[in-house]
Amino acid sequence: MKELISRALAVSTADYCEIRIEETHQTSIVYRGRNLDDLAQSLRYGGNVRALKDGGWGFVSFNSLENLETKVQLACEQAAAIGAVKQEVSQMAAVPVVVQEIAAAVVLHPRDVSLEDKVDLFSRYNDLILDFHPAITSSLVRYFDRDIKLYFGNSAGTYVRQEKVDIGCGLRAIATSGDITVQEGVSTGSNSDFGCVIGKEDELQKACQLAVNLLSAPTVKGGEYTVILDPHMAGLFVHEAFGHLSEADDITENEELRNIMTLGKRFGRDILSIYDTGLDPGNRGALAYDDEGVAAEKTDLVKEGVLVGRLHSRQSAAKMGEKPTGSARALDYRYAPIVRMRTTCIAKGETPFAEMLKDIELGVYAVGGYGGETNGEMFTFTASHGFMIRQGQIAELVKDVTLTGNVFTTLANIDMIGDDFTYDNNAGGCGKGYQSPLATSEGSPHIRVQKVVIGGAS
Amino acid sequence: MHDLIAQALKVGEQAEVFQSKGEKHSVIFQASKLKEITSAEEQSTTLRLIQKGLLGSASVTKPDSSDILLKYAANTVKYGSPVRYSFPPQAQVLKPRITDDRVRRVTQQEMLDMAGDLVAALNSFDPSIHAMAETTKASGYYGLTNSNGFAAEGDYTAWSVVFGGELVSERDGFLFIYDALSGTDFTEDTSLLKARVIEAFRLAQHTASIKPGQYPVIFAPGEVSCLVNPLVACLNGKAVSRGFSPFKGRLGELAFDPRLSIIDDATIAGAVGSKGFDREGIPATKRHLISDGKIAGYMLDLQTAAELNMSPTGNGSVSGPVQNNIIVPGGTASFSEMLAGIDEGVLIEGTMGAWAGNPYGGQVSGNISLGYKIEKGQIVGRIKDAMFSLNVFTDLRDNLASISSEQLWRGNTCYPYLQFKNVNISTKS
Repeated sequence: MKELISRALAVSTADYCEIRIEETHQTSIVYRGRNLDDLAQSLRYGGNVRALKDGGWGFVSFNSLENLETKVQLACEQAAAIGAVKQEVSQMAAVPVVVQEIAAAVVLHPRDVSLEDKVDLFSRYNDLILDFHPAITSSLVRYFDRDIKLYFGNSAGTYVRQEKVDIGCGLRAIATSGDITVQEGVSTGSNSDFGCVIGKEDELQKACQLAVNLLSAPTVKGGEYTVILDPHMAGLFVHEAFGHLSEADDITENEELRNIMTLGKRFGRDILSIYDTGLDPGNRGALAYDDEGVAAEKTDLVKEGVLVGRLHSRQSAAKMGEKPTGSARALDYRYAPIVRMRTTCIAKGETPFAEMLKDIELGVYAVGGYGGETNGEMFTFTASHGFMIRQGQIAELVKDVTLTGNVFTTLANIDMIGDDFTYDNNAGGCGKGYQSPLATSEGSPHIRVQKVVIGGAS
Repeated sequence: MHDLIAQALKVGEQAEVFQSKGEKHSVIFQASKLKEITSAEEQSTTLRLIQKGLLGSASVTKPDSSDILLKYAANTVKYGSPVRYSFPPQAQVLKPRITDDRVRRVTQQEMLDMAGDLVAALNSFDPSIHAMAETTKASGYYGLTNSNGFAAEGDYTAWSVVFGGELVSERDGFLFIYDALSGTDFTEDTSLLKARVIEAFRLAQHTASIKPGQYPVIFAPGEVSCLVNPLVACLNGKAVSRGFSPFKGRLGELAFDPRLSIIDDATIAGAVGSKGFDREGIPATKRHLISDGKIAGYMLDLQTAAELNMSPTGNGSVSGPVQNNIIVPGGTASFSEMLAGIDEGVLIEGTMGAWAGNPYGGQVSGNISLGYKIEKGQIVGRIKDAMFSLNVFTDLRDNLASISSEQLWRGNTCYPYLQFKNVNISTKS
């Protein structure tokens, strides 16, 4: 493959050119209700050429590696067509030229577990859900594993061959009573260990009981509250509310956004530190090299409340005079790399959970994350459930807890950070542009936020 | 495909092969500048096998890799999902027009000029807007064959224009406005798209405040999807047969306002969701899912139809039933009449996070990412830091004020404006 890539790159007429080829073998298992709903295996195979000329990008993707030189020429022609209009200097921050072959650092590889054993494991989880309580009327059990080989070469001489693994599962109980349907579940994943999906029985039973309890729980009353986010919700918050804002490809071309995201600006209190890392092993967001052949790192974004860094591709780093962070990632061979998160974390604080609760007269404890969205300034995300906080105590269970707010105000309103820390490697992923779901992870302690708007019943 | 079927029948009793091959070209402007030209060649083959009442499935995008395809299908059929159907025999297939040769002939220069014109128009309105425009053309072939005699194939084309922009300021915050047109036919005239986006930026120039409370609310056609999607999810045969859906066993029941209907229509010429047959070989048609407020039909593939003892509806895909084109028929009120009748209310043109809830519970809450305050029948300014919350099961039954006569296509949906009498709006107190 190295030879093939190198030979094709030799015909490039661009300022910069790269080739990325992917071979991904995937197994997926889905149960819905009693039935095994889908059992499939697939091979996703293809590649792309990306070329940069005078500031313009050409991008060609394909399934067949035949005539790779022709595809390089086409990408170069596309880039030149734009470059002729733009007449800009192509900017790519300098990075070391590397030649590396990296095997996946695997504990238990999913390809070493038979398909029969995988089907049996998820069948047992499915039965556990459906047999738990008569109110649980259905289930949704999803599992996937991906065995990935990536080949990357560029016109500077870098060649990286990476083997990767991506594993995820979601185990969801669906409970129904009359018109009311609720869901609760367990979601997990890993980039290295099939063991992450084994032994989930106790956790799953708790989720099933919660689903049954949610049926009779009231919808939270809409309004402004002091809110404690559990580590999953806090992880979702830091990903949605701040992580996307730290992706520098959105900042480079936008002077106003650059002003808002000026390094050195205060975004929170001294207790708040946020980082994004590709290094923590086991997480779905961990990676050795990004899709531009740049080594991953731990990138501090906020330190003691102050903005100190952001996530970069080689181009965004060059345009801002900063250093690449190994954050250029593509969903698969059909897409060009864009700046993405890896594992985004709020650093551990010092406040015990009981301390967070004790002076809240009326608040909400938001637990577990369904999903969320941001437009840079505003965010919305939905908890899987919540509890009211009354006179400093956890009170009744509530459902349909959706939080919204202004990113900057909310960051400034984080007034306590817990002394715990939990990673979230759920089986979902991150969406940006057309590229979704990309494997990312989050990590956080409990956090407390003042004045959060929660939508709900009147 | 027939060779592959013949080989597959050595490991399965029934076999089905779906193949597609196509190409796509895009021209992309970002931050008001020409940024990227892209080309993609795409091909895939999917093989499904039935053996001893179990279904196995495999797909590959690698050319000339039928050995892997057969191996994966044989692996999965051993432990696969139990099926209660056979692949269908040949059927009379009606083919709505989903190709336009003009799309194939569109040149890169035409795509550049069209996107460039949109960007220039928006920057002419306000040079500080970071304009984005993307023109995309696609074309290709698809074919489906099974061992029970079904064989059909066809061509497709697709054309889309995405247009909008971002305005960011430390004082007024972030404003993102995007719109799109798409279909199987080439559309040269982008004047309506251009006008809609510029008008949205114009309206957003002024801000207005709103107190928390209950207000009459109009959802614009582009945002009606966040209300219809939970209903479509509940009408999906899989949700019905597997017990997720609260609509199970309620066909014929008046569950919504009698003015509300929802139609799945695969027969519309030029619409991106139109097709002659679904992914399993069942003729795709036009059907009411909600008719005059009554639950009228589910979307069923071969498996869910068999489980519910009903007939498949032409909504099959490789992963269960899917919608073709979802239409909410227009009503009698015009949008301007809706506005004129509101003394104090909200127009919602953009939402954020409204998809993130539990669709089977009907509760829909989201941030109003682009919304306007209405006072005395006039739009007076953009509202921010606000959130709406309603339950589509109850609010589309008891709280619907009116349905507009105007409708707007977005992808494979066509919706009118929907006005509600009272919707809970949460804001900073």
